[in-house]
Amino acid sequence: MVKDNSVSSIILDIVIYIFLILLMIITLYPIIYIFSVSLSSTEAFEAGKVMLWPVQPNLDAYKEIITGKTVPMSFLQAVINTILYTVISLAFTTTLAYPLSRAKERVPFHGAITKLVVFTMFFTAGMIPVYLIVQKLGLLNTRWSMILPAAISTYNLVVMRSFFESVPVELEEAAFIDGANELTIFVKIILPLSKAALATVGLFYGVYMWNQWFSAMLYLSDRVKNLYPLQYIIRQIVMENQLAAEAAAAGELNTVTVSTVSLKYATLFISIVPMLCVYPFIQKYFVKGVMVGSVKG
Amino acid sequence: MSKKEKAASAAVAANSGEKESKGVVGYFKRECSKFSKGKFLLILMIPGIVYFALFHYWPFYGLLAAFKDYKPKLGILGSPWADSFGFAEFIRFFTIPDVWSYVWNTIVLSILHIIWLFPLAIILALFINELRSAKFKKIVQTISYLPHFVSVAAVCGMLTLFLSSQQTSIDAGNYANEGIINQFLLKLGLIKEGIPFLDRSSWFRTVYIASDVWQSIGWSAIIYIAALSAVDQELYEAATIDGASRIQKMWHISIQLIKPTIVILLVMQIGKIMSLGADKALLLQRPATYTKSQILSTYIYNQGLTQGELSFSTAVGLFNSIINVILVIFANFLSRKLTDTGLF
Repeated sequence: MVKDNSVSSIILDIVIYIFLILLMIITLYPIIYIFSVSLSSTEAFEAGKVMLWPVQPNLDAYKEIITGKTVPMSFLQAVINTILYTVISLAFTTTLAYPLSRAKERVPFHGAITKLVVFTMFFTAGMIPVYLIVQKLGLLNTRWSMILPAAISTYNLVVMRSFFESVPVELEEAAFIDGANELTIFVKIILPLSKAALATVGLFYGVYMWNQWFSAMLYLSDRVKNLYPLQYIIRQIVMENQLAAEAAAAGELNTVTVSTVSLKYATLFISIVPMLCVYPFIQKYFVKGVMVGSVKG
Repeated sequence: MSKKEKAASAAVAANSGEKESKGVVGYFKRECSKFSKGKFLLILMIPGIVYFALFHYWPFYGLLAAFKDYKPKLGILGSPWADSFGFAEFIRFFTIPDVWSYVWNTIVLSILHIIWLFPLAIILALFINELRSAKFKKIVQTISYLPHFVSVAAVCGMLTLFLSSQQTSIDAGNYANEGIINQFLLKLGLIKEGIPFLDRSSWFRTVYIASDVWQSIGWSAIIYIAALSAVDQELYEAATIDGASRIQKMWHISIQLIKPTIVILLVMQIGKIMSLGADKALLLQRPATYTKSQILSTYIYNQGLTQGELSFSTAVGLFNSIINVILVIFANFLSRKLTDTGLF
């Protein structure tokens, strides 16, 4: 780009930098603040001293959480759900997207299936009818009620189909001539070529399940508390003061050293951190995934 | 599907249509004749097809409950039809005066979301595009995506903690009982007393939209950044030689080139105005703010699963879905008019 040193250009640069730096501060501050409070001592917090960095840092809140029952259990549940869901969803999505990306002449009912799938993007029966089905299938109060009803996201299916469409048909034809059967072609040629797509869609699915809390509220009653995922626990701990009440009842909470406030902030931080560690590494795939999904229909 | 593909497939359809038999029987014959070739692909699709059948098409049968006086023990078919030719629940819905305020709350939140998020995401993309340092660009982008990966539950947890208040007076000196936002406002002398934002219905929309913007501005900008990075740099160089300032270039080149993307995304958002999800509103909702925070989806949840009014909330859900379809069709029509590309 040709350099432009006029006054208006310099003013524009100043505006841009102020805007972007402000945006970064507003984005990062809440996360840093949560982390700082979770590490700070109760006295420092109660004196109103914690503003940005930890004051009198200690790990008491984290020790308290790790030795407790609720948060480690729900963390484990969230990990199990996320892994199961990502694997199942990726399998269901690729196996449906691949045939739909191939020529109409090769796939029975190609057109009808495509139309029926796309239709669900625009018309859904709604929350209650799906709830009734989950109930009828006997999935209520099981882990599968959170996983199966959301197994395929039509949006991700469309993203996946577009990726497969970009794999040249000639590759398959060549493999056919060499005597490969369709299963070999799919597993040994198509899937390895679609690693980027699998990573993108897998990330989308993983993030969705890790951050999901609403399905737990819909489908899990308090008879199966052990199945509650972490994000649902956050709602109870932060908004309904549940952890403190439970700990107090069990006589677990050492109120002298750890305040309920630090526990809340530490739990929040624990729930956020795994995703923040993962996403920068898969960042390069976002753009393609978002582009394909939002323009193609 | 692009126009070319559509034209090609239409041509294929026209050709094959002439030769082969028509009607439903002909259609099935034609499709089944592909079985020998397409067996493997069809088997591959079974899990996906079963999924859509179970969790998307079977529930349509459950919609019958909207026209019945549904009793879980009797099942949907066994339950008696509702009064007024089955429309009793719909009539009840339309005669509850509060319902219109829930519809209105849904629309207002969706529109505010569009009004704030759209321009801000576009500005962010334009500004990032103007950055000369590739390293700074990368840092800004990475940080701006971060909130997208924080769950709604965590965001609402943060809001609950940050916006909390014991209504400490400004004279108290120690504001530690207040959430961090109130602490700042008190220290700066902007308020006389801590504000319990989440218990004030007048603040509900501001809190909801501001946190929406915090969470999705970076993510929403991705698509514009991608569109802008595909712009031919020669266009900018030519404009520079013609004496255009950077602001002129932003307006006449950058914005013009991402205009189709903006229009398509805007139209898609219009199609979604009535389908605002229940999760965030439920998390931020307090009884004190119902006048602003009760939207259609939270109403359906509360009525159906908390109060057990299954027929009624199925009816409300069906009403909502029908409005959604009408809006999407309208949005598609709009998109075709404005950009010559439809969504379907």
